[in-house]
Amino acid sequence: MTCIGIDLGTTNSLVAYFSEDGPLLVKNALGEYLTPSVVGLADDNKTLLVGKAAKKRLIRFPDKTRSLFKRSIGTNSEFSLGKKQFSATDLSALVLSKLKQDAEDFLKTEISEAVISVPAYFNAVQRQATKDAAEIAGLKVCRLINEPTAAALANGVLDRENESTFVILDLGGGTFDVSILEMFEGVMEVRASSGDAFLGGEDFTEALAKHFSEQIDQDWKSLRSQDKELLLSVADQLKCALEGQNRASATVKINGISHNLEVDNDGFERLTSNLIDRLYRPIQKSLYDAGLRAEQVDRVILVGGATRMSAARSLAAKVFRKLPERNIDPDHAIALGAAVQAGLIKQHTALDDVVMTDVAPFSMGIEANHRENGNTVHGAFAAILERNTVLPASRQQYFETARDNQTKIELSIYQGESAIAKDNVLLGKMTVPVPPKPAGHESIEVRFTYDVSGLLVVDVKVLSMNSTVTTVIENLAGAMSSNEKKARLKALEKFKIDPREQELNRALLESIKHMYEVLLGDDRAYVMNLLGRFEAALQTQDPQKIEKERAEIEKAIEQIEANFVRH
Amino acid sequence: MSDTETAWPWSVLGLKDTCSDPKDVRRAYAKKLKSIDPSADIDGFQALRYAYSRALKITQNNQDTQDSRSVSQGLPEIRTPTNDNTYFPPQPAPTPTSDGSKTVELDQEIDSSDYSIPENFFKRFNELTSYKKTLTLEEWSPLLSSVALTDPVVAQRVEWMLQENLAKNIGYYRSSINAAKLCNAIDERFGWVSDGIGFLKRYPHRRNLQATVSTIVRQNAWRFEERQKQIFTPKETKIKPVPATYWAAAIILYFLLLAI
Repeated sequence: MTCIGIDLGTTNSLVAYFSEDGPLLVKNALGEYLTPSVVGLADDNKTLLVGKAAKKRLIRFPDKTRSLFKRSIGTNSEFSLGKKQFSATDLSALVLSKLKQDAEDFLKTEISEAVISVPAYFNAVQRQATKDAAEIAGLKVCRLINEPTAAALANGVLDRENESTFVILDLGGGTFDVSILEMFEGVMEVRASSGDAFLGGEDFTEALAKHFSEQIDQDWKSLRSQDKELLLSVADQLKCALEGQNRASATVKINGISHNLEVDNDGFERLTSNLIDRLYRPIQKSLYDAGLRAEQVDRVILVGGATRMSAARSLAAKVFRKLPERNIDPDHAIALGAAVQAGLIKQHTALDDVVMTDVAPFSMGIEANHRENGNTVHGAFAAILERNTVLPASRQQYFETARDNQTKIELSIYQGESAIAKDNVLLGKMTVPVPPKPAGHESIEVRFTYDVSGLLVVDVKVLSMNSTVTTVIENLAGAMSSNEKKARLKALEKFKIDPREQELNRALLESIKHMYEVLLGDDRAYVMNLLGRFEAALQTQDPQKIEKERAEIEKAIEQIEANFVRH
Repeated sequence: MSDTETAWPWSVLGLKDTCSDPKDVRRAYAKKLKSIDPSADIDGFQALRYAYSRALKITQNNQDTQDSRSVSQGLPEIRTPTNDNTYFPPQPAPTPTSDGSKTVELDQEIDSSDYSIPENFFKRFNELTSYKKTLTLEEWSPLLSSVALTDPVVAQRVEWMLQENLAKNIGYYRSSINAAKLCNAIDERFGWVSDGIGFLKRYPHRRNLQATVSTIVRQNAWRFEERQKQIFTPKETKIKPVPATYWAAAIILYFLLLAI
């Protein structure tokens, strides 16, 4: 049975599979590899739109369209689509089921298993929510793979003979990850991973959009959400235009006044310098954890769409004193790598001599008092399994009772890097009975065993009694039960999904209307004309005529989109 | 000592002899690794991985004796696996070049304000640390945001110097808002609070400093949020005219109160 690889991104998502010729991407119904991670409600309030059609409605229907929900996965935030409430897990499930459908359509087989990539710096709660989303979408998760590790697999499989140390800098739409890997003799070993779960290309876009709102004398917070989305969309287009040029501008109308918005490379770098600064720390942290100096890295590989920004590229060059590489399209690498991992799990013959080991991206441990020179630090975090330990791993530490005649020890298990336990993510709790004795006279051995699939087993042994208490932390406290998942699936199934053959028409209609909203004056009239032409063609219900018109109008819209940004 | 003990770590890797080339160690490890299933035999995998990291370290030390990063060199082997990370010994701070009394005026005279050059950077750094009261964020921020810090070697040295200095002046830091700002900036750069575990690994003897800095940063978190807001909206907020309905409501309330 085929297991697919999915890159569930903040901005865009992709799906790939492992074939005889290596990993291959799957095109969606629109013939595109990238499916925007956007979900919206159509005008009838019954049909759910996922992907490009929904993205093109962001400006016109901000209350019925949701994007960037990956940033909130694992939290309790609710997103409204019209009057209906959705969680980030629900919305992710909708994107996943769309990708599943695309793969099934392409491979002509039913698919029920997937490897899904998550940012290396996602914590256990965020990982669990991603798994839940997949199960709602009818996909069993064979493995969650860290995004930079996936990118490394995609790059490493291309070049299996070489012995090298390389670093992957993965700046996606919403997250930043750094991984350092060593590759030799078909072994791919992740040495260290680090990152920032709240830093990505969308932050750069937002900084630019906020700058524009200031320029046109509008307070960002009191802008109407339509105008916010319009500024964000224009900022995104200008940001992308800066990749090849030094200057870009466009004209938009806000509150009835048209404004010329302009940005050049220097200005953009100044606006985003505090974001660029935040890229340094994860890089230094992972170099330190890997025990390497920057010059010991042979190759620097950039993945994630946001690494197209020149500031990100020059930062990489500055730190590593090397020209960064982009052998594979930075948007594609993660999905391709997830497909390689799927191939590894299914023991594909083409991958016979490839082994990959990954690391734990976070430290795991318990809350304990720390005594030093007569001072006691209460509620300190004792890390038992340190971050960047090669997995699978099993480590133990010893603790003793703190009070006289203590009858039980309560263990709170945390994940994170803060020296204060409560600032980390709580994974679970357990209680161990101990015989009453003077303080410090009873000891326990706490053993953490963590495997590649993210399963943490905690064994506690009371040394004087030789008794063991075991807790398996598989599902976190916040995880959904299978009944809950079924209920969510039922709720989501109530919505209509456009039939596949309608998707092309729907996407084009929404693209035309989107351009109409963005443009001014004569340009607007021209787009109106296109809309009329296409609607007339749709009315004929003649597939050939519709296809012919669609092709021509698509070309015209593409041209208009390109002309919108001036260089 | 038995034969198997002398052969560790080589025997675990399936090597008959000690070897001196890291390449051979890698090859042996790869071969062994492919013959086991790590998830089924965690202990076996850990023993193999640990033997590999030790063997690699030994061969690398042989190859490059100048490599000063390994502090375990010459020490007896550790028997139980702890972790695979190398510890960077902090490099000693350069001795201050000028005497402390003149340093504050100095920075206006010399044209060495380009802190991207490590030499200027450390000069200024020593000036600041030798004069106690200049420890404010305004004075530090040109240094903390300098490109010189993109060099990990410089960054490590700076972190070492900072923690030495802060530990010495810990009383001052407890009481000042300037210190709170500085601690926050240091955390943004070096993660002393957000990555407290990492900090304590680098400086195990600085648990007190870590606790103090954590408290300072946490207690002042709201101030930094304020600062963030100021950064994002630097313009003065305009005072909006109060809508007439509000006035009307206020007047009615006033009369109601009078009536009571």
